[in-house]
Amino acid sequence: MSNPLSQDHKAVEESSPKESDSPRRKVNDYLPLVALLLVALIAVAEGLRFLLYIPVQAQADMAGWYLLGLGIIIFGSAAYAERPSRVAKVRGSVVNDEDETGDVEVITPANPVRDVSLCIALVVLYAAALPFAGFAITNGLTVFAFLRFISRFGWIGSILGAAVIGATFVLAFSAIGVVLPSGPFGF
Amino acid sequence: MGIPEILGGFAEIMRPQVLLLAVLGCLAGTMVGVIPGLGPVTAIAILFPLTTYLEPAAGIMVLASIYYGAMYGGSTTAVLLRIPGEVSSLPAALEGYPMTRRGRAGVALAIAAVASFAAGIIGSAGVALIGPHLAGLALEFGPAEMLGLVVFSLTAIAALSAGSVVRGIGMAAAGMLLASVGLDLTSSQPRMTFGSTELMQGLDIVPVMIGLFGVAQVLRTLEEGAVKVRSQRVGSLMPTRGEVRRSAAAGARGTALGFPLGLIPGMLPSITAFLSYATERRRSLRRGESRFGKGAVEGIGGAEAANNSTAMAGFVPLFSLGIPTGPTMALIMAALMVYGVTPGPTMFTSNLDLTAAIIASFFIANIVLLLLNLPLVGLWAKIAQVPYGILAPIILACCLVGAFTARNSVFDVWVCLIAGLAGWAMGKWKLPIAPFVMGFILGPMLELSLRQTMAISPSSMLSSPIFLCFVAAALVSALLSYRLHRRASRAMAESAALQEGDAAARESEDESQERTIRRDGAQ
Repeated sequence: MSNPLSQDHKAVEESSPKESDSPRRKVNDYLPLVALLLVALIAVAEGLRFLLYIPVQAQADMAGWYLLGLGIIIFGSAAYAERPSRVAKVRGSVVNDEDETGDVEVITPANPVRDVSLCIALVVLYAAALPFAGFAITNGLTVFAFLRFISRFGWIGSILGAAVIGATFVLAFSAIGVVLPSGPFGF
Repeated sequence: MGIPEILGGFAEIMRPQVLLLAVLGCLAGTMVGVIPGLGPVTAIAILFPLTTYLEPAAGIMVLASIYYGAMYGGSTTAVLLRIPGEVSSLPAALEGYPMTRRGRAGVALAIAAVASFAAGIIGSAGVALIGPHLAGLALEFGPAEMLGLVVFSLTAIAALSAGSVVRGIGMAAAGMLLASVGLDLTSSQPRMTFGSTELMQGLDIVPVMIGLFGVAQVLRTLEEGAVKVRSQRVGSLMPTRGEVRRSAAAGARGTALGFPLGLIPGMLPSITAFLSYATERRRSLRRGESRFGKGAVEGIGGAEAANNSTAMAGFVPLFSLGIPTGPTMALIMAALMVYGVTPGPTMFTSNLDLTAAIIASFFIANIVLLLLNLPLVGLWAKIAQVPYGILAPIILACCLVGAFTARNSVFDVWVCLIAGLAGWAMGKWKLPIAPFVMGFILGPMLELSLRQTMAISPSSMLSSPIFLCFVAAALVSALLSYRLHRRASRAMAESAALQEGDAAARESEDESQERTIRRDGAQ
């Protein structure tokens, strides 16, 4: 196998990146707040549904109050603690272990967005194909695709790697008695 | 149960073939536990069928060996790869991984192993000597007391979160909301299911945890890049004298905290591990010398000891009352029943010999684990030296298989993916993940005890001194952590100002020196 991640990735000395001092906030800064407010909204809506629409005979009012309470707590904490101004202040006061990098060498990915997207797509395909193609084929193909397109091994290295890893998985799980889905060829 | 019975138990199991089984159990458990994403529950679940043909004492001993091995394996991946095999290994990941980055993984692993061993031995002795008596106390906890305990645990854990108790409580509530997906406890009405029949069965802990920690870690590494450290090697196993002192004291405190709490049904090892971690962190902050987040050995020793002693204490209510304290104990209870042993008070009366053999097997399993795994630390650590390009697809495949095997359901693979994306987003947005996880685990317990308390009488909370003590402890914990955070931020601001002042002074000094040199040169 030739050159794993290092082929298209360069090793760099991690330096402490300087945060922008600009007071203008980006849209990304509001994402956690928005996400948590959405979660709170779902909880409140579900709580109200239980309280208002489930018949009294079902005695689901406690469940409604519980969900409503959780929604209010999430809403309150997000509105207070996830404001970008507040988050910046809190982060400034916390010792972050990621800051303690010292002279650690990090292999910076050449195209992280592509790699992450590909990885998510592979997991989606894995979940979709597992019931039909079986474990051996799905797992082998996923490992091959990962090695070839994300880790950037050569074709032969990827095929060999996928075969070895895939066979090890199948043998190991068969040996310890784990039943995994089988495909059209019976494995 | 006295010493003669325990010695009889040792005589029963000290046979070569049984000891060999213990060694194999330890190896198998560690090998499964070392695979990122697979924890003790999964290890026991997948290896338990292989032990059913053994006699009860040997079978339980193998299960105990698998359990301890998988817990140690979980700590190994937590320290080396920052992927905890289970939630209780998270403190080991938080403190052990920074040590790995500095080439001191061996010390972190040795501290974890020795703390686990010592707590396991003390816990085993506790089960044998004081367990049956203390079980009665735990049984007296009613819904109100359990509610108080869970509220206190959640508040303490929220104090762990980055910088703000309010953020921690919010994330814990989000975790509790996720745990409420499924059918309502009493009315059986679907809630948070959005019409999905799969969601009606609720979300299993295993795929959610695997996603939050395993898949999210893979995504994070792909985005940020793999850490290439010279220090990935294990290094020496010998800690410094200071580290021994700090970790031994923390381990003793962790054992003292973990064992009594572990007697209470529902208290998982992960909770006490976090409580110990929070306590140690707070102690360290109070002293103003905190290395937490950068490789504090007391964070590893305390949490690992609490984890193991709680795991051992879980056998007390299981054996004496027939009550499992968590999913692992529930699996062991199922195994006991397969072996023809009914957990409950009869284990200390009519089945005393068998119980003594089982307790003796705990001692043996702990010793075997220490003797086997410490010298093999280097072997387990080899995983960290495999290039991430090869390791990542293996981790991902293990995670997806682990998620699938939890309930043999493809739906859980989807859950794992979504949890992975959520964990990745939380990491990007710096949202504290620990309170979220604990909210997810403790949510059902909190809801159940709350609803039971309300059904009995809301005033039962006020009439329970134990509940009031727990609530007071929760309030004190929140206030203390708020004060500590404020003090820490003030101290950091002051030190930053001092550093700036020093730098400015140094610059002006340099400038004046330069001016003097130039002047001298010109003259």
